[in-house]
Amino acid sequence: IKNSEFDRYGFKKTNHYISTKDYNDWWDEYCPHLIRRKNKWVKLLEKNGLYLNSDGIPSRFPVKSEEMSKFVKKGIPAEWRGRAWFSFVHGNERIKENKGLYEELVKQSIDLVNENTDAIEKDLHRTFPENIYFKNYTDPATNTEVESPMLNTLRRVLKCFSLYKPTIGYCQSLNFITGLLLLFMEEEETFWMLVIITEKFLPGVHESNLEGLAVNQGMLLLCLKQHLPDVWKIIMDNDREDCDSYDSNNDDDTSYLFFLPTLTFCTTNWFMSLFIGVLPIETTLRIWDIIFYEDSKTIFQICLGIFKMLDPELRKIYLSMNNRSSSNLSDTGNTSFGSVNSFNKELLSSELFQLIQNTPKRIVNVNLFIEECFRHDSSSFCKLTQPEIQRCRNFVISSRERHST
Amino acid sequence: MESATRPSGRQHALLTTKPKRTVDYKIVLLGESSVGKSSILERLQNNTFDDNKSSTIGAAFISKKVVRETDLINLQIWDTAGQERFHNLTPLYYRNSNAALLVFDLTSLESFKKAEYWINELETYIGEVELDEPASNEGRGRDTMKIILVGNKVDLLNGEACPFEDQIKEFMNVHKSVVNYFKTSAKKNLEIIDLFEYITNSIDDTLFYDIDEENKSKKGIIDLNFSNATSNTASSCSC
Repeated sequence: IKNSEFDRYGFKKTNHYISTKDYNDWWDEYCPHLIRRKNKWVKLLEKNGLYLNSDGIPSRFPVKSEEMSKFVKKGIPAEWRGRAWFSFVHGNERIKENKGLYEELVKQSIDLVNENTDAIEKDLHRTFPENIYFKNYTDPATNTEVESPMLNTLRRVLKCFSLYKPTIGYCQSLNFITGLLLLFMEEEETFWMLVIITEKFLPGVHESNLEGLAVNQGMLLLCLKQHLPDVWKIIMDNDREDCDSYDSNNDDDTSYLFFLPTLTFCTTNWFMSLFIGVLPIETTLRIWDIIFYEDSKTIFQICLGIFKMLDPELRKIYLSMNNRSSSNLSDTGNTSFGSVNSFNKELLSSELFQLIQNTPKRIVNVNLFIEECFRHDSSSFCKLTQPEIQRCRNFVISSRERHST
Repeated sequence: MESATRPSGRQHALLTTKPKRTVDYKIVLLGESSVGKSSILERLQNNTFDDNKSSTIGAAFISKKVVRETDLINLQIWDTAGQERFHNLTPLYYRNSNAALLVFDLTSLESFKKAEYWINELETYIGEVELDEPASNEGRGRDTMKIILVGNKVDLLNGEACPFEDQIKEFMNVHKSVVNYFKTSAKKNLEIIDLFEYITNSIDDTLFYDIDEENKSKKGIIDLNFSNATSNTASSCSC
């Protein structure tokens, strides 16, 4: 891997944000970690009376426990991932309940042409175009470009999904989720995994009105308000004249859950692609380990973890902009505060957006990041429970309904 | 192409006697999925091109600094997702934009029809803003949004005319709010530079502000000739 341009999943190691040196330095440290963890996993399995199959992958995983949770947070061996994820979300039960359904959908979707399939076709070649498994290759015999078999599988899964979930159909970002799943599991498993992700982990997020996305954004705001109040203030304050209706002194005012502040839109793809493209690939996969083992609460814990990491920088930008704003005020005397402010906020908004967009792409050191997210002494959100998240979801849904009428 | 003479610019320089000025200029790219919005930006930012680029989810943001004579232009460009269901989100990006690029694929009539959707959307928005802030004379320096039509992938036409050239002409005739039309190729690097040069050259002078070199803080401009400047804005925008 060190001398290769690609990582062990076929992705390019480096990009605009991560240099070869960054990657290799990290990998030097990470590789022994992987070996150590795998040995520990084997022991854990044995302790639970479970063993590796002939393919070197355990067929079952231990039931939920404190210990298991710790193990998952430290990473599942890559070659076990597909089976582990599928077993965490009880995917086999879905397959058993729906025997033959996927095959049937494949048949139905073969000649299907509609808005969804058009959109799918457009996105196939724009799904991990640099990954060796997704890249088309040139047939040396005929010198023509041959479509990667992976793309054909991706096409089938997405088409079947669009038939099975007509309220979603096809939504951009599902191509990435499906594509990444396909690197770790079989086609039919990928299909059901996608179904479960869109039902259980990201409910409504990809539906045509994107209401579920707005709900998740609202939930994230409430989480920020509770756990990272300074970040929350910056995001709320960054909003301009159109949010004047929001009364920051009135705790009961939840209009911001309906008229979401602008900055929440830099977290659109955090939810929609479940961190693919937001974080480096190994970081994303490690987070998926935890999400599928735990529940949707983990998605919010990770978002909070990212914001916690960004907090000092966000503050710095915010303060410098506020200073600028006040120096403007004294310099120009007769210019109204509002206009200078709104102008600077425009600038602030883009600086903050850039920071929030670009910084996570550099989180290569996944062990450190996950440790930070779940540190008991400094991250109050590490104890966030699924019932709390569910209550939060219900609250946002009802607030949004109230404001829409 | 429009000649970018800027009489008020000279006047401005004389008035303030500060040689260096700067502007933060917000641009948004709108258009159907897969027409090449992100590729245009990649060409602008890194001067590179990928045949297969990842789909943009939600929105992406890039900033690009352009130095022109004594002006520092800080372009802040929002790239949006093309799929229809993301349209609900896009008002947040085009709100307060100084310029909007309506991008379509010269080989896809369908993508051009999407430009029709966007122009209506933008014209409605501009109408609302004008109602809300009639002839604002505060020193905020905001001009009307410049809308530019961009037909991308001109290389795929192989030198032939676009099959729906007439409809493009008609579009430009009907929608006077669209100030220019460029045929670009992000792949072959055609007219991308011209497009952004046009944009930077036509930035209204009232939007600039001086760089205060002593304390490095930006300063709002109190232009005594502001009423003049706004009338300039209006005339240069409805060409």
